[in-house]
Amino acid sequence: MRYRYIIFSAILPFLAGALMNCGSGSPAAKSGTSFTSTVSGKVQYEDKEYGKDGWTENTYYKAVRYATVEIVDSVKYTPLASTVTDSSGSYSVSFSTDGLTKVYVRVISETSSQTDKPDVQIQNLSSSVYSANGSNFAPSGGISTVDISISSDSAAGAFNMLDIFTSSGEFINFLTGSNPPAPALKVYWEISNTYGTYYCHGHDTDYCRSGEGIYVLNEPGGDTDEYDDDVLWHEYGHFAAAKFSKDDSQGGQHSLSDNTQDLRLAWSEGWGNFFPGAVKTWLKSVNPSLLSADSSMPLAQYVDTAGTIAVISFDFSASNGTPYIYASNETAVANILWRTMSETAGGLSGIWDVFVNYIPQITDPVNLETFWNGWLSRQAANGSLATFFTSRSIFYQDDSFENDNSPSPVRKASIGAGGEETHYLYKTNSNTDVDIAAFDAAVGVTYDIETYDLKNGADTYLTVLDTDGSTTLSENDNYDGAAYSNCDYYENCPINGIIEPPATPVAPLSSRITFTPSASGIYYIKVTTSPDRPPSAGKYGTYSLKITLSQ
Amino acid sequence: MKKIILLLLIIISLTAAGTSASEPSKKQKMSKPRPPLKVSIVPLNPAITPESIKSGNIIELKIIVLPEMDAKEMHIAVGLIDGAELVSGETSWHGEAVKGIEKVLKIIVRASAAGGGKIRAHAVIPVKDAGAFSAEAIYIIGQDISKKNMPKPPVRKDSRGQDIIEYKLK
Repeated sequence: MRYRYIIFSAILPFLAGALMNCGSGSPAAKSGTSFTSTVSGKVQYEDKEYGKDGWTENTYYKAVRYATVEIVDSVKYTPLASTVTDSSGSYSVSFSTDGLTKVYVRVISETSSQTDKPDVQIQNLSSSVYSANGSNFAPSGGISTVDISISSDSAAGAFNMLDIFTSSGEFINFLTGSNPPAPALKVYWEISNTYGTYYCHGHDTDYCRSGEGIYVLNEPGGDTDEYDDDVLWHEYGHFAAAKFSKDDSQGGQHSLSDNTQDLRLAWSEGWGNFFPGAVKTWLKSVNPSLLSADSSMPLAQYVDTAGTIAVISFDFSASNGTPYIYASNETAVANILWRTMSETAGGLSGIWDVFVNYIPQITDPVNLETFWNGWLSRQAANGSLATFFTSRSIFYQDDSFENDNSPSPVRKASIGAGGEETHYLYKTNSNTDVDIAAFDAAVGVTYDIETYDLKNGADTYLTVLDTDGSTTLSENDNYDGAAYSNCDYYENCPINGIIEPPATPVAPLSSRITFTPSASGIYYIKVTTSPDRPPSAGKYGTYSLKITLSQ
Repeated sequence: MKKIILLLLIIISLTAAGTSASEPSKKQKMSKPRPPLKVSIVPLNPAITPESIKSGNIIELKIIVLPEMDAKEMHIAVGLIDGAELVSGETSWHGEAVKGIEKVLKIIVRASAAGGGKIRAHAVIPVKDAGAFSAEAIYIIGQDISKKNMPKPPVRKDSRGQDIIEYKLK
């Protein structure tokens, strides 16, 4: 074996039987001067039930599935034989007793890459694999029974993660038909480190020091996540996005209640929030005994515990009463995905089709708009998503002023209070939306024309056209005059007209022109999406337009 | 001379590569969602540490709750356990949460006669029809609980020189 092991002593309910070489079956088989011993048994770990309010205080033992089991020489610490547990945690392994005085059974927190099951390893930050070992016993031929029950005060957390990520891989294999199979996953668990829980798709010497994988570390204050199944599945969702789709999120801290997220972050985390509910829905249909949530809890309920409480307990299927809206909110994204899975004919397979076959082909930053476009492109026949989007104030639809893509003196915008207009930068069956409004302007009078109240990642570009409807008189991209198209990390990329963090009253992605005509007449205002929008923003989105007399 | 220049170029290029590889990149870290509120418990006198408080001492504490969202409803509850006694102050509050505006409760507490005692502050923002966000802080008199540590078992070598770390049963 190439791994170092962290050995946890485990409870051995049948230790006496093992020591006494009890059990039934065939007698010891003699081979030359040595005997062959067979050890069989069942490996379980203690799982913790959770509900909406956190832990229920119920625990029960679950099978350790598909884990490597070794017989180890207690004197030389060398592995003598190995096998793999089955879906019920049972194992059986034979070895030669030649020269042995004592041996023990070791269960390693990894699934075997030799099987057709998902390849998962739970390690510490030094790449040592966790294991639970039984007590020493003297092999004397014949069949012994050694059951191993790993309690929650020892290494059971590693085996809970092994089970959660194994079920994640099985879910992926269900979606792909194992072609391709779920990729190998390394999980790094260590609670003496306070970097938190996250997925790294690359390597650095700080957060991602062990390379790609899911890091389940301590949170400042003492929160650990080895039993927080929804958190673990959330991170596996990121892993799946990196391996099967495309994820342009810059990562970082985020919360469900933030309506002004970078659109890339909102999509990525919304997918991560949706993923646990999708896995649980599938598990409930194929093997509900693998679920640790109490039966009264909605499948879309995401719970993250800290100590004795649930710091987040949120039902992503909740369709009413939540203030979490816009394509720039991860809760809204998760709710849309949940409803797409639950309420369309395309369902989960339709989502997965867009996820793996459409999104990776797109060169623009991936966000909820990409999913919308992908659904229209590949799954439109399987149901409309419009009502899911509008319920979250996301309007990828014609606004009330369409068709206004070309200048017309007929439809005029009003000047002053009461003349404000709300537009969507979206036109059905068109790649480009142009909003053009005429307005009456008097010579010598100065007008302030501006877009404001940008939502859903809108970034406007404003132009004032001459009375001929084509000559550009003035234009403005960003209110503050700055360019954001090359911004990198989300801290530098504005969204929805607000730079966060820290929030400022400036609305840099909105546009403003102060205009004084040289002759009275009907002029035109043109608004499009900015050709130089930052990757945090979207092509679509909602904005308001107003014309006021300059003070 | 050419060899020296070549050597320098190799060193420079290796140094550059090393720098690039070792740069921490927060872009790669996809974290779990965080609750949009924080709770902390701090002594009014910043010089006081949990370890410095003796049995029977009276200390003044601030319960600070920082909501990171607007909400019509937020609840704060403070509990004193394991012998800590309330001398004065509010131990509960509910009202509107305003993003970025701290709600501070001040309490005066007496450490237990035997030393120690705990103060637990819990804040909840319910979300209609969906669930709740919450946060908790625990101040343990006499103990810093900011970090947890795994047990550190002895390291052994196997026959091939690989490390085996063995944990003992409690």
